[in-house]
Amino acid sequence: MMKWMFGILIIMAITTVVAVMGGTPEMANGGPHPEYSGMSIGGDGMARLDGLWIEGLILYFATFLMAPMFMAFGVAEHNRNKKFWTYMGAVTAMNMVFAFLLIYFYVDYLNTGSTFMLLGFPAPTAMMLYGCWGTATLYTVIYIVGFSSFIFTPEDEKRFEELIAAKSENSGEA
Amino acid sequence: MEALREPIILACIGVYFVICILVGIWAMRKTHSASDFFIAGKGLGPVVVGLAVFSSTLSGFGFVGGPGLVYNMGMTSVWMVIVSTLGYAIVFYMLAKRMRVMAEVRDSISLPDIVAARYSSKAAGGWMAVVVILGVLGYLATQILAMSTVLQSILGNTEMFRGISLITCAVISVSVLIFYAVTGGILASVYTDLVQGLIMMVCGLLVVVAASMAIDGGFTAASSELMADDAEAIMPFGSGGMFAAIAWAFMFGVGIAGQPHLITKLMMNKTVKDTKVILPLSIAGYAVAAMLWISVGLVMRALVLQGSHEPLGLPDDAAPEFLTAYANPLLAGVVFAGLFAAIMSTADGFLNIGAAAIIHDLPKAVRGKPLKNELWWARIATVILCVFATGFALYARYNSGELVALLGAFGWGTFAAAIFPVVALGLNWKRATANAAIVAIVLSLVFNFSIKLFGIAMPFGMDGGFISMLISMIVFIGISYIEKPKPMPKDIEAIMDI
Repeated sequence: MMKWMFGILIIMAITTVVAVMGGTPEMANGGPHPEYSGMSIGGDGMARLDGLWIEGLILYFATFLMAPMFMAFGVAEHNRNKKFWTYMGAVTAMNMVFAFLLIYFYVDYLNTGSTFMLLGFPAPTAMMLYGCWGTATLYTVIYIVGFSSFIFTPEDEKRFEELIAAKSENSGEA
Repeated sequence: MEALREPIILACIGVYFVICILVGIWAMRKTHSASDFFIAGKGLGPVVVGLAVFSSTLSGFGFVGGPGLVYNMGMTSVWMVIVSTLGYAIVFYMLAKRMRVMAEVRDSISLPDIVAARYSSKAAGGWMAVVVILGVLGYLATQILAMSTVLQSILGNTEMFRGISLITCAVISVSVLIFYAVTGGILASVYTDLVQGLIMMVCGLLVVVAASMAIDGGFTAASSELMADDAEAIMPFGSGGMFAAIAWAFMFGVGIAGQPHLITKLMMNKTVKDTKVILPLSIAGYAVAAMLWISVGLVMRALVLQGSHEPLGLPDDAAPEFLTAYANPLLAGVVFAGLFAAIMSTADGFLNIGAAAIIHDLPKAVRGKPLKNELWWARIATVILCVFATGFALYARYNSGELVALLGAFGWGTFAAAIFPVVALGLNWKRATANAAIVAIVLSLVFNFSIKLFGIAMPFGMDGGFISMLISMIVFIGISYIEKPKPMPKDIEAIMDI
């Protein structure tokens, strides 16, 4: 699994270098607001990502993918069973769907100039706030519900107690 | 009630200070050893640890800098909050169990202790102690300066204390901090964190309600106002753009597992099983408190755009001006107490790990054994560290800011780059080597120092910490693959199999 993560990290690094070498479009990082000194503006969203969409999307989806990979890496290999991968896969898929919808609605807005409001925010931002933020909490649900199945199983607990016993024995001998 | 605004705010802060002092006195009676002082004798309940974890993460930045960033660049900085759910989960999946087991089996009381044990390398532990000490100085100085500035602005508004100096305010606030941090160690720290966490959650909820009522039509109207002015600001990547937002998302989402003041708290709970209660509590607490960050920034930007509020002098004025103009005086008082709580909870966490690095980790790395009477030395080190950081902060405030800017490099990104690969990856990957750990730590320090020292601007407004994290992780994994792994001590191998 480390090889996959290593590969993705290298892809992220290469992507960043390629994006930087391609030059920085005007307003890529925003600019000052014409009226209010403490504010910045983004301007034309499509123009400032001109030629950078692929690099941006690679970094964006790689970030969403790396998070569950790190989580899975924290689970002992012998506990990463089919059930664990099913749960993690399902939540990652849901998280990715909202990450995709965010981009879809954003690009649609940039193309058409209109979008709809959802619970107080424009659709792309609502996907970010309610979708991406919300579905990520399901990883916590897996941690809680699957705690004794994947995180700290009765066998793990037994090994832990054996380690404590061995430590007491050693300190007794010393 | 409006006429009593200032006395109410002062009373709230006064009550909060008294609570901190009382907690310090109570905790002093329960602190008998260095283990009690640094990791609360590994005997804390899940609710206390859960609230301490989130409140030490959300410093004064979340209450002042966060809304300021949203006011300035819209949704870009909100990614720091959005990824918190992923970030906390990464911390717990990767570290909660291993840190707690390591603390039990190896009697580790600090992060450098764990690193030294994992890699069987005093040098790796020593380098980790250096990172912690340098980072603590930078972070602590910033928090102390923030604490003093806020107190000065509050007291300066009253008739009685008009014209009070920053130094006097630093003395008052640092005295309270030193009192409870020295007397009760981490026990006082986490129990004040508990109070602080509860205040922050209440503040978060109430401020969101106040923010939605401050503008006719609530958040929908605020969003529409921002869209009409500059749609990018309210779109998901904000005016800062896609690359800046993603860099923050990665750095804050993954890098949270490299924050020493947070992850050392995972050694303090009674049992490993407690972590399944601690995780949801931390996430819920952070999410509620962070709503203040988002709502105040957005609403203030919208109010200024529609002409209902005067433009702000500085983006960081967003939260204080909102509280002054749109919040009930009692709520404003509680939020200001919450702001102190946020700053102090982060500061005391850093004081604790800094003192541990000075009196426990460095002597172990250099002499091969810890000092005698560690508890006494821990209290002395806490006072010295706090006094030194205060002097440093005030010196930087009144003289050249170059030194503080340099230590300012020890922000979130430096810790993330230096600690995440070595600790979070290293505790889960048997192939990781001591040399890889040392190189990753040193490289992170050099990279982040260079960025600050030479004023190197990152492309697309990406945070240097993101680039630094990528480099440090790749180097750490790469060197570990190249080197032939050495056999590990049996107990460490067994811990990594759990």
